[in-house]
Order: sequence, then structure tokens, then C-alpha cells
Amino acid sequence: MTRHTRQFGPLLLILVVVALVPVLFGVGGITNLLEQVFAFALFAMSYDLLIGYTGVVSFGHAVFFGTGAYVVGIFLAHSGGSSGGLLVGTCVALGMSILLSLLIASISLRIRTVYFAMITLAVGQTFYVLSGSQMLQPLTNADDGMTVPLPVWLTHDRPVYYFSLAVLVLCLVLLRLFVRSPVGLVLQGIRENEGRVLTLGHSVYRFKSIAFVISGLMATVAGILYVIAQTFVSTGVYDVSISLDVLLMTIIGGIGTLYGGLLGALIIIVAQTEFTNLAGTYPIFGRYTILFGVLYIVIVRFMPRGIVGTILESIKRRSGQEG
Amino acid sequence: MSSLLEVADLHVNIGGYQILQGVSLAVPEHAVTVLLGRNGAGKTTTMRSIMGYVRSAAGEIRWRGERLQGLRPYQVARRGIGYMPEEGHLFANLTVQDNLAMVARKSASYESRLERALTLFPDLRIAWSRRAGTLSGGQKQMLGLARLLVAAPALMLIDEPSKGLSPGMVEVLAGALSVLREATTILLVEQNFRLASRVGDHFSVIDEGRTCLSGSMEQLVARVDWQQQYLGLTATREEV
Repeated sequence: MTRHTRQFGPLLLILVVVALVPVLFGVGGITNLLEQVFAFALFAMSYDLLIGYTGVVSFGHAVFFGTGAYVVGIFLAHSGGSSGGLLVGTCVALGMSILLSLLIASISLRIRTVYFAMITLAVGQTFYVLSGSQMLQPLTNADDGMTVPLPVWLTHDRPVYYFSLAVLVLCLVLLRLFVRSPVGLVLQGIRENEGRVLTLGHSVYRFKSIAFVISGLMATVAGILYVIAQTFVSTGVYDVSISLDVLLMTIIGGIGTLYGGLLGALIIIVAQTEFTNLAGTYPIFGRYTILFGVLYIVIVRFMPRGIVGTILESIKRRSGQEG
Repeated sequence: MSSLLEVADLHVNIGGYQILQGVSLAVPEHAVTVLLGRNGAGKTTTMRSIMGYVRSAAGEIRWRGERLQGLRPYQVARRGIGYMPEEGHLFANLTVQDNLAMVARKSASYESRLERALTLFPDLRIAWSRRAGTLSGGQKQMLGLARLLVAAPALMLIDEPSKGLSPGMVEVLAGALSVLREATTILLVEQNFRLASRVGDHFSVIDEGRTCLSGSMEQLVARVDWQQQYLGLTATREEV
């Protein structure tokens, strides 16, 4: 068995199974849930690029997710759900994401990591307040949020499912290529020790900015997938709890693995949905965030590399012993 | 012979202490200049000042006539100065391959430089996919030197590469430094006088933050009294 088969074989198998879900189980509940998982998996992977590969912690990454969701939502809503609205909205959202990430990077990436995290939190909260403000009510519908009509080719569950899955796979491949590129290697070097990277002639600020822009773009695409899956957008997409959820997904799945985001998103989204359903009968399950807190502590204490990270480490160790 | 790097009357204060109080040295092109001195004399601080990690209080550092002070470390590195600190120069969680690949904006000669480095240090080829953190002390030094060789800077600053190595590994290191010196200019900090005298062409001795003696290595080797006075060497130790 070649190294590539060992590495990508299980992933291809998972992809085939996921692609067969609508055929095997029909569309509806499970596909809607998985569409959400796809959006958050991409969001978590974008966050992993920042925290896992570059060592930069952001508490306001939802600002990109929310911008993707809101901008595309606004363009779709004001174009009556046309394909043109989706295309132009996507381009505008990605452009805004680049500008926003460069702006945040220019004012905060030169300073210490903890201050960067605080600034991203402040920017995230600013967008949260702005999206709900009456001043922008004609655009955003303020606190009420807005229903988003989709283009005709996305009005059925199956096309939405496969569209979301295809975008996720494409972004995963791009992210994988990016982290294995020379730029990705320098980012991993920055995570380990910024001073050593300077010795090699690389500008840490420039590389962190590149990572922040790419991460922001991927989070924006995740927001677009989210609004397409939900056909609704509200101020909640900018909420700090979204940033914290994605942090939890990344840590549970395994930071610095990319694939960890997929598993983390699956666990958290499915758990959130199931606990919310159970809370109708057993109110105690409404307090599921406490369980998430416990899970977070357990993972950090006993599996600091997360689930995927721990599995990969054990495979690597075993193959090392065999070799 | 023209000097690539000139340090003139360099003063550095760290945490209220005067660490360097007048270091001056010239690094001639295509030669190995060895910076000698007792522990704590200020050799590493001199290296870090050249790289821009430490701010100088007075004096000048000139690279090909250009003043280096005020530049950030990566800007100094981009001018063609490679630095291998005493320890912690590798990325422990990255593989040998990744540590080498990180250095370069890849050029046409990258592959040939890489091949040369791997020929010089064949152990690295065997450990190609291993994490740098799992290498032995000697292998780590080899990887650090290989990375310099791949980066091919005009000047290499190498800080105590023999520290903690077995006598056998020091021999390998001496061979490697001899090969490196053919390709570039080296400023070497080295406590092992036997190694320093084998590979060095020139020397500067720093004592209590000041340059107190400079000259050709031949002169220093011939003057046992200098070795005793400035380096604290005894005849017995020199022979070891």
C-alpha cells in the first residue's frame, strides 16, 4: 500500500459515504444537518489555519463568517434570489473579507498575540452591534434578520447538499495545498518560534498577514455556505459564541491537522442539535453548554492534540515502531 | 583583503548592564574569523547585535559599507547574513526535509545546494522524514549547517557548533566547516580552541565586553602566552 493510499484512502471512503447520504437516507433532516456541518467544518478549518498552523488566536473570527453570510444574504435578498446576486454577493463578500483582514492585520498583527486576540474580539463585537443596528435596518433588517431566497438551481435540498459538499472538498484541497506549500511551512515555523523564522530572512508580519487573509477568505466562504443551507441570516452569525464554538470544534478535532475541523464540527453540530431536541422533553439538556465545557477540559487535559491529532500521532508512532 | 563586515566600538546594554563596551572586529571575505573569549565575554551578544536581535547603544556595524543598525533581523538575513545560534535554531516539530525547505526562495541552484548538503551530511538523508526534535545533538548541528549551506548566505555567523558534541562528532563538524569555508565567509564563535585553530584564518578575542586582541590564527597558535593570558588555556588543555 503506497503512502498516498494510506493517507487519502480513508478520506476518499468517507467522502463516498457522505456523497451517498442523500441516496441512502433521502433528503431532509439529515442532509440539512450535514449542510450545517459542512459550513462549520470549513469555518473550523479556516480557524485551524490561524491557531493550529500559525499560532495566532482570534476571538473574533465570526466577523468573516458573518460577513460572508450577511453580504451574500443581502445581495440574494435584494436580487430576488438570482444567480447573479449570488455571484456578485460572493465576490463582494470575498473582497470585503480581504480588506477587513488586511485592516485588522495592519493594526494588530505586529503586537503581542494576546492583544491581537482582544482586538479581534472587539472588531467582532462591533460587527455584531452594527448588524443589529436600526441605522442599517433597510439593508440587514436589523435584529429580525432576513429570509434569503436562493437561485432556482439551489431551491431543492439535493443540489444544495452537493454544492456545499463540493465547495467544502475544494476548499479542503486548497487549504491542504497551502499548508504544504513553502508559505505554509514558514507559518508552521512561526508557530514554533518567530525569532528563528526571522533568522531565515522571512518577515513574520507578512506571513501572518497572508495566513490571516487566507483564513478570513475561507471563513467567509463558510458563512456563504451557512446562509445557503439556512436560507436565513441574523445577527447571531456575528455573535462571539460562534467564534467560541469554532474554537471548541478546532480543539476537539485537533489543532494543526485541518481534518480535525471536520470531526469537531460534526461532533458539536450534531450534539447541539440532538441536545436541543432532547431539551423539549428533558429541560436539563438545554444546559448542554456545560457539557461542552466539560468536554473541552477533558480534551485539553487528556488529548491536547485533539481526537484527529491523537489518532495521527498514534499511527505515526506505530509505523515508526514497525519501520 | 576586503572586509565584508566591520564592527567598530560596539556598545550594548542589556537590563542596565553594560554587556559590550567596545567590540571591534573585521571579517575578511572568503575566510574564517573566529571569535574567542571566556564564557560571558560577550561573543554571543556580538553575534545577536549583528543580526539585529539586540539593540546597540553606540558604535557601528557595517555590512559591505551599509550600516546594519536599525534593520530588523529578517532584513539583516536578506542582505546575505546567515545565523546559526548556539542552540534552538531548528524547528523541532518539523521534519528534516521541512527544516531545509524553509530557508529558501527557491532558485535554480537550490537543488544542487541541497544535494551538496546531503552529500556532506548523509545522516540527514536517512533522517529525511524525521522530526528535527528527535535528532541527536550532532545531527541537529549537521542540520543547522546544512540549512546554512542550502541558504548560501555571503556570511555565516555560527555560534559554538561543537558545544555538547562527542569528540567523534567534533571531527565531523571540523570537516564540514572546512567544506563550508570554501563556499563562503564565516564568523565563528568557538570555545574549542583545537577546532578553532584548525578551521580559523583570523581571530578576535573578546574579554569583558571589549576586543582585546586580533590577528591571524597562525600568530595565536604560535603564542602560548596569549592563549594562557586571554583564553585561560593551559598547555595540557590545548593538547586535549
